[in-house]
Amino acid sequence: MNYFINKTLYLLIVFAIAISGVFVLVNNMPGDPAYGLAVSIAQQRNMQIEQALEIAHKMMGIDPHESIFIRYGKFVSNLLKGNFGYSAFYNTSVNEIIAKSLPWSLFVISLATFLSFTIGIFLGAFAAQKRDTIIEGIISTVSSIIQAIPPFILAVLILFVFSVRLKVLPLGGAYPVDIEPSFSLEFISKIFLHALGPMLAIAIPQMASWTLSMRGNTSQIMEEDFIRFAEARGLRDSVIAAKYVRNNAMLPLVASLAISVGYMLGGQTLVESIFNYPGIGFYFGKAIAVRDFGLLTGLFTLIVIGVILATFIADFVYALIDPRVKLK
Amino acid sequence: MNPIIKVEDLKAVYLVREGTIKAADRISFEVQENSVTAIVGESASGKSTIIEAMTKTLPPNGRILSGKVLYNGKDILTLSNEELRKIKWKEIALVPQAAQQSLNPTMKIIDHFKDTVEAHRVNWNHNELIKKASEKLKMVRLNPEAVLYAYPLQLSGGMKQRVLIALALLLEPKVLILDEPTSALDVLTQAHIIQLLKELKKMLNITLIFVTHDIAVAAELADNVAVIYGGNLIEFNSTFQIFKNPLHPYTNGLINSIMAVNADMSKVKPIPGDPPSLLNPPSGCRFHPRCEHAMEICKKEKPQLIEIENGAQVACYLYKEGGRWNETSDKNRSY
Amino acid sequence: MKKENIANFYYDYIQPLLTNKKSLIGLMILLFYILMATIGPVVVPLDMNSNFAERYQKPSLKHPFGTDYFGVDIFQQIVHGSRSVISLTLLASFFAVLIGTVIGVARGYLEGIAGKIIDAIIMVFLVIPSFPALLILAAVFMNYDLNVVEIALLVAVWLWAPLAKQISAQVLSIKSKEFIEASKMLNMPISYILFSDIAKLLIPYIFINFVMQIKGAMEFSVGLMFLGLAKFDPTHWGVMLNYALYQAGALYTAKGFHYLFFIILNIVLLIYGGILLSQGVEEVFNPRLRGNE
Repeated sequence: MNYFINKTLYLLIVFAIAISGVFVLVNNMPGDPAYGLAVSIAQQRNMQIEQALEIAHKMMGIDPHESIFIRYGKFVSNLLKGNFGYSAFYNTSVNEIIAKSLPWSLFVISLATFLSFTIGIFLGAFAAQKRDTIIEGIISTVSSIIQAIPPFILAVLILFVFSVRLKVLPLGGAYPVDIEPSFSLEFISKIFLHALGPMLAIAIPQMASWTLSMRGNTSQIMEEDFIRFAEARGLRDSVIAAKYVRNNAMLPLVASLAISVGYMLGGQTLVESIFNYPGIGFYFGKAIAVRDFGLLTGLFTLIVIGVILATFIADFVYALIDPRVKLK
Repeated sequence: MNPIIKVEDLKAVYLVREGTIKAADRISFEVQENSVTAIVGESASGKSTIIEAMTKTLPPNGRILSGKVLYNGKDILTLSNEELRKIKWKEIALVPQAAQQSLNPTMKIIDHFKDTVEAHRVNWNHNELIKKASEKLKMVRLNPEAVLYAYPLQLSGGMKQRVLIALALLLEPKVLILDEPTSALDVLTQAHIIQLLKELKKMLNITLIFVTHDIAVAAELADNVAVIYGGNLIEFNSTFQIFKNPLHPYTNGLINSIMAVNADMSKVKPIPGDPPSLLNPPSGCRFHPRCEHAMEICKKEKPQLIEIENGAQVACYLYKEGGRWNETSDKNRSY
Repeated sequence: MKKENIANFYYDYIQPLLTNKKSLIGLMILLFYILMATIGPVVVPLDMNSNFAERYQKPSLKHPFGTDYFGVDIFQQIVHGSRSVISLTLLASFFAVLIGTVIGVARGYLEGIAGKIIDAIIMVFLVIPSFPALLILAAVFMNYDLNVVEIALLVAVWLWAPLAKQISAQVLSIKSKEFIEASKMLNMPISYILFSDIAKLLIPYIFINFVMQIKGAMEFSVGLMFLGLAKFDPTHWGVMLNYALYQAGALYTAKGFHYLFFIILNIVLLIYGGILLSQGVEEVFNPRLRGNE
């Protein structure tokens, strides 16, 4: 238990350093962080830029005369209250953007994780069982080639082939604009169809890396003495393959499952931008493009929280499923 | 007396990058029912290979090139995998040397018992399984309540070794083969395991075969001893005869070396030289480079295992079929 | 003496790589691109002037990879772009390895609070999702005209942490070994212990890691360019991809397929070369590394 208290403290410190670093980086920028918002207000309402700046400052909750320390204090206390800040570009609170985009991201990520993990585990174990055959060669080579394709390039390819040329996948969005959201079968199937492109773009490279790690782990486990002892006891091959080889080879991978979820949360910025899929990554990309630092800081904080939670869950799960860790 | 196991001309090798390791070369011997046979040899002499080849449990790079292993008249080596699987453990159980890594680290001990039972379609319900498992664990002097629900890493080395033996006894096999049951254990646990095997021998109708590098252990437990040198069986005899009258110069040296503790130190003669490489074994008799009685023929031709008298078998040119000393050996018989 | 060192280096590190199939092919791919980056621009001219009469030409003898939206030869752009792609990737890997080694060795030597602080810093960089962080950093510096070295540093900041962790663990274990104690007892200066004894044992690690960084450095720098952050070279393949997709709309016209295809082919092939080499390097050196422990 002590271990977990230590770990929690440690991750909290890491979180504090990471968030503070980003805050300092963004807030030491030359110029006024509210300037962009002020310009758009001035254009919309036809007013002087000074006036617009004042309004913008109020909307973003910034006092330009405050020192960076006071601003930092406000940033922290807002965070503690669950307030992630204000987006100048979208003219709304970051919380609102998170509320409408996070579900889509989580939907795509969980689908991608589930598919890539189950298929990857299966292929990796299969390749290891067929050691030194053509099947293993094909699985390993294809996996390595896939690993050489960055997810955003895969996204471009999928978009080009399936959306533009074959027209079997939609060009963007989370669902068609002309359908009212409901729980109808049609709407749900459309949701899946729209998620398919971004899902495949992150799932396929993940699958390749699960396959390769599972193959490595499996062939290592197959050399272990306890496998030969299980054979010596006359256990059926199917029992050995499942209970002795697969379970042991999978353990470390199950633990890194959570970490990969966190990684995807940060890594799908480009993929969602390419598919115009309205998840966290899409808004993050937008915030970068228009340099909306309020939105950027808020979303980054969310991503860091996600990754740290994932790390924590990974540790916890590992301790839960592996007696070697649990009993230490 | 009936041989329960008869090994004929067994030849097994390991394929490695540098070539083939000739680990078991034309081994033949018989094991009588309800007897205890010790296979004795230095480390890397190929003694484990023999029992692994006998049960077809060689590592992936091991190959059986020729030979027969007759169990009650049936050749184990020609059985289909499924037929062999059914015999394994139920009739012939092999407890491996690597007791420390032989249990699945993510499974409780009870589940190892359960898997074993299920593999052989023994119709025990859960309570019966617990009862039988506890009975065997008590037999090896382990506390069932403490051990059954533990994970392997919670047990000490000696406890794991005893769990393996308990597992081996679970289905009451006819033949129990143990690979180095006492090595890698502290002296106290060693003594305990030897005591345990002695009791088992008395309690159960069981044929024991065990491999050891420690001839003292063999002396304590075995009825018969097979001496292995460089992948060859060089002497087979009853324990009593082997200690009283070792035939092969190597056996003689081996026995001499353990007398150190209780006898006159001046009589102790360590065997000079190093064990042979099984990758490129010496020509002729593999012991000849270290043998003080080596003759010309020993370098050229490999001696066959011949029967001398009263079932004593030896592979050495100092002896001839049917007993008695060779003419040449008489001159050399100075030790 | 020096010649001997070079010969030893060849037998220890280069020759085993030439006998492993994966690392050999990986090396060949990387060498191909390095040659392209060094000799290519000298041999192949670059004409970036728009020529709308030749827009979206299919690959032909005159234009091996075809032409783009502006009628500019794609092959010429790829060849000239390889210079910034290769230099950026190798520089970023180099910086990552340099930072990782320095911080890792420092952590290995520092004890007490200082060590704990470095641990926390390494942990922060391990945990922070690196790609979004890189994007923020790039967005912050977007208005400054960064050169190759500065962009490489920007990328390297997010790549060094895993190596630092490995190296610090290695140094900690090596430090306790006897021969270092012996050096200390012989009263050799600490710097000698650092650079002579430890360096010898760390070289394989650093070598492997340099190769392994190639994939990450490549992916990060292309992604950065692709998002339109840090446009320092219009022929960098990431910038080309950005143009193809967002300026020229190559995605939405059937004629633009070869444009995308050749950019993507070269990016993927180069990364694949890096992956093959790192797989080969691991196969060749890892057993030995494990043996050292």
